[in-house]
Amino acid sequence: MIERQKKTWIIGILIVVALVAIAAAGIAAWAPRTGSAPGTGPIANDSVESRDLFPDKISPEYAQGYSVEYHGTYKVVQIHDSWGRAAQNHTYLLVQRGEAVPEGYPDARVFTIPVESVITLSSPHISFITALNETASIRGHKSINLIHDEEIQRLAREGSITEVGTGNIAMDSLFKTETMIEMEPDVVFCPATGNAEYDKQPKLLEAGLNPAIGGEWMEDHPLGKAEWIKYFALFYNDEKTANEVFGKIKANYFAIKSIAGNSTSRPTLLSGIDSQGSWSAPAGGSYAAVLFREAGGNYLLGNDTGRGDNTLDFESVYDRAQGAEFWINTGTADSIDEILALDSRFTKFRAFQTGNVYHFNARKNAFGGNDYYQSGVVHPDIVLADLVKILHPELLPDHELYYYRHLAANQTVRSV
Amino acid sequence: MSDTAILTCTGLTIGYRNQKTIIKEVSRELNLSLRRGEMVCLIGPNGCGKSTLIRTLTGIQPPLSGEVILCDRRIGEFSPDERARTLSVVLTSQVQAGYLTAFDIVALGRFPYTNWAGHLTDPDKKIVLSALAAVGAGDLAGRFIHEMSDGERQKVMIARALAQEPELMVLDEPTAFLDLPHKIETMRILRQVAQKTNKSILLSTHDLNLAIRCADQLWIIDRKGNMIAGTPEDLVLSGIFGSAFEIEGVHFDAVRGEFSIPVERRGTFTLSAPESVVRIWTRCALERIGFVQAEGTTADISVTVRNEGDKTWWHYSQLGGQQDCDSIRELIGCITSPHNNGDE
Amino acid sequence: MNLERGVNGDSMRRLAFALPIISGVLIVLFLLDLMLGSVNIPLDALFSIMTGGDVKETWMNIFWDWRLPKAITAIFAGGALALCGLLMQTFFRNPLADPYILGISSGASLGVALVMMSAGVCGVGTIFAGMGLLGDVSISVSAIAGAFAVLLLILLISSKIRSNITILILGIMVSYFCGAIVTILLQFADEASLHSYTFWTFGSFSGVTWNQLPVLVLLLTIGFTLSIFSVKSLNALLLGEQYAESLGMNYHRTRIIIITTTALMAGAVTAFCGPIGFLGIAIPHFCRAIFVTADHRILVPGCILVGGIIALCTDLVSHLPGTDIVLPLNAITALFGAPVVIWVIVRGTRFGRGVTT
Repeated sequence: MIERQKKTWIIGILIVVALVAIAAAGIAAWAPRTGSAPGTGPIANDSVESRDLFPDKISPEYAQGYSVEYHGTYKVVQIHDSWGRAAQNHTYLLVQRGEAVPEGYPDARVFTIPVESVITLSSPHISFITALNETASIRGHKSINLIHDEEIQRLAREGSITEVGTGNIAMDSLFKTETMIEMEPDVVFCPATGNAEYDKQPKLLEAGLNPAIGGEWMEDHPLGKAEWIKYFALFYNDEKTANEVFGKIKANYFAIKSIAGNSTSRPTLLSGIDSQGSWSAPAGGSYAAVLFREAGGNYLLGNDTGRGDNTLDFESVYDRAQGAEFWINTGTADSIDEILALDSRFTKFRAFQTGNVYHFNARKNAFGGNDYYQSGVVHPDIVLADLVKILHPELLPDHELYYYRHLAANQTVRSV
Repeated sequence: MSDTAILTCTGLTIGYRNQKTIIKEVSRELNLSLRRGEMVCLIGPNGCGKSTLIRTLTGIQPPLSGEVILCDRRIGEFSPDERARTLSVVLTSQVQAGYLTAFDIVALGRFPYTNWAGHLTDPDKKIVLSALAAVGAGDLAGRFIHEMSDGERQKVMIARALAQEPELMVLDEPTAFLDLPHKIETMRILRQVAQKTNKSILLSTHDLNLAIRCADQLWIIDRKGNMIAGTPEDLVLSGIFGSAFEIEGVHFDAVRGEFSIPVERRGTFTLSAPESVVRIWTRCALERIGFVQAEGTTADISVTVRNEGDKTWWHYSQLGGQQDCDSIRELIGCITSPHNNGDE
Repeated sequence: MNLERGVNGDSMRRLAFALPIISGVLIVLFLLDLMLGSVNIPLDALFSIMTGGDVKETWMNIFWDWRLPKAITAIFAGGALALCGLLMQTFFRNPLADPYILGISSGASLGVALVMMSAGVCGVGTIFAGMGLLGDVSISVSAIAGAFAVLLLILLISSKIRSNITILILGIMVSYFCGAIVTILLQFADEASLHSYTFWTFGSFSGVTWNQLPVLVLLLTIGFTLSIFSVKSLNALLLGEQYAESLGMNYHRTRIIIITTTALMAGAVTAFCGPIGFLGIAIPHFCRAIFVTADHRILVPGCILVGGIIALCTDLVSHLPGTDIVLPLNAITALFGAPVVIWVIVRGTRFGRGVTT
């Protein structure tokens, strides 16, 4: 019954989407064609170039958002929009300093590598660059307060990193564009927002800056997010470090996953929080849901394959997950008190009654900057270890929770 | 008509006050008195302070100095409820209330008498209906106000003021939006109300001709803010009425009691006709085209009206010739055509 | 009942006729709202829940802790919003007036934003950290505080100013002012706070718990009572401020009562349910059209009942019974309500067309 009605709704939504898509296709048919088939142009150049300046190469296994071809003196990087929108695809030519820019890529944007000065507009990008030991190249960042990393805070205080944004919202108008222009960075790493309206790239291009999209945000697999370290390495010609770092993370991740796999039990859990009757929970195909599963948990709200967050009805969540053993990720609430302040009816959940409530706010600074969203992106292995420790404490006796925190009554932790 | 004064004011100065500074003094030292059952028309040119006076007399606006006495008490001493039972108003502004029937509107006149919920008792309902009947709007009771003509709406508003059962009704330009027959009808209704119910009525108006004919008393404010009060006839005879309103080229015709429309003078006429309506309108026509009655001297034209059975002929003669006309239109055509008007 | 307009006007008779029907619809919808939801609880189970029978504990909790307070909230909040809209439309003689025209919801939003966003902003967080002690009510308390701060400001200024157009402009200015502060707060908010603030602005009847419900119901009942005792003055105000005064209405006192009542109800609803739009502006028009009168003796009870009905309907739709999806209430109110109201208003009746206020 429920399933059938749900299907009806989904079909309805699909019809709407289809109509919109048809309309969009119609508009696209009128628009001038600009995209060129990647890889067709450079074949002629290949035979001419025999040197290979990039002995260490990368190729993404988990990340869906980019791919790279090596051509001796330059790299051709393709950015794929993970939502399949052709207009959001980009081609970047990463050309070794001093080498000629190859012809045949009319739509590609050119970057001279290795880059020496960068501006980052998204906090995980700092973690990637730091993991590559290139912290010194960071000249500017959007919002210093939200960076958990003490080192970055110190550099900012000393003046070697300038804050280039005001406020915390991702909006073009809030960037100190003039400051950025004056800094003449080799590249500005900006997040892919998934929403063309808020994408900063066009504005940055207009300002004469050289933006490169960092799309780890849109990856669904935890390792896919982490693997963007290889993408950042392309700009620094440091594929070697990237491969090493990612290799370790991957190995560690799978080791922990297999430990979790040894467990016979699969504890049930719920996730997310309600706000005014709308419960935001990670969808079944989302990053968080993948981690829950790999950690050996039975995520009760993740029967779908959707991405991002689902908005669910409170009573439906209650019906499905009242008996869940764990409540992991409590959204906006940072403590038991804050959970109760949102809605006293949360006490009806068994996980709440038994005190099994966890949230990834162990490393959150006074301004709300959460390391889970920063280094946590680079270290899914540690996040996974945290979850295994929560769900199966006996399996990882020596691990101490790093990003996660056990929320207990009357305990407010606002800052580290 | 009794001689008791319903409303008196002594040494009244009206105007606008802003905080503590007097900004504008509209009229000074007014001494007025309004008796029971009397209908007073307040007239004056635009901007002379009619509205200010009305607002002051009804207690909406405090006087700058002097006193307004309503039924032997100072107007300021009334509680809102008491004042509403003594004084009702009809304002210039049109009421824009959708989905209210005439009955609803008139029933609001019972506001000072009904309980907290505005419940109408049977006597209340009777009063409402008789107020509607008094203004000849009995058949409008169930109609919505937003579907009524201006004339009907005005009747309903007057009925509402009546249902309030006041001693004094004050109306601010009740005839402003109406066409001539409705103006006259409104005035007739008000006269009737004043006479039948022995209520006092004060109304402001621009219609001087109507005011002269309807009012028991005229209050005239001239452009300088001076106030003259008196019966219309006295004011006309003393010439005050005329001088208060005459502007360049417009004269008050004391004989007819109305303002004449100025025309360029073309000549003089003599008219021989029996005393009749025909004679009056023939004279009007001649005056309209610029001829005045010859006094003593020789007239430029002469017109004779003859009746043959039920047919009327106008015989027209002037220096150059003469002609019979069978309508005033033809007569005017003869007089004004250049062919007739000179050489022959 | 009583045939006040024996002559012909039959509004009261219409009410006497419509009242049982409307009350019936209200009760049916109330029961439907209890029956239908994301979780399918069979009728017999519902029956035994209500009669204290033995049912699954989760179903018991869903019924008693979620559906029942939600349905009660919807009735009261819907009625209150409709009533606020009516009061404001009559008071300002403006068909576009709504419950929030005085800036009440902006004040409430500001209060909520201050609490929700305080984490990121220089120490404001510490001020509100103590709010945790208030548990359940911190968001509501902040919203009420914000709403009443605006109310006090409006009352203070309106005691010096006569013209209600000035008050109208004042309210709009206050809205902009509070909106500006909220925008600045939002800019410094972290994404989680931003998210929960956004959800708050969507509006919902589901957020009210049993701890909060008595407060909400008490405040709104006070508002209903004050409104009912104001019907006579409201009717007089239909003729305009000057006529009303000439009828012996104490304009100053009436104004204070109307403003306070509106702020009380709009503030309480905003505090507990978020800034729910549309209902307040539309239902008074809807009621005038179905009762074919502007008489507040009919419209005040009419708005309370019809407001409750429409609120229950929108709540039902927004929870999409049978699915676990929930849609923002504010979208549903307008999405489904606007066409209905447009139809009622534009259709025209034999009594006349359009909304004339």
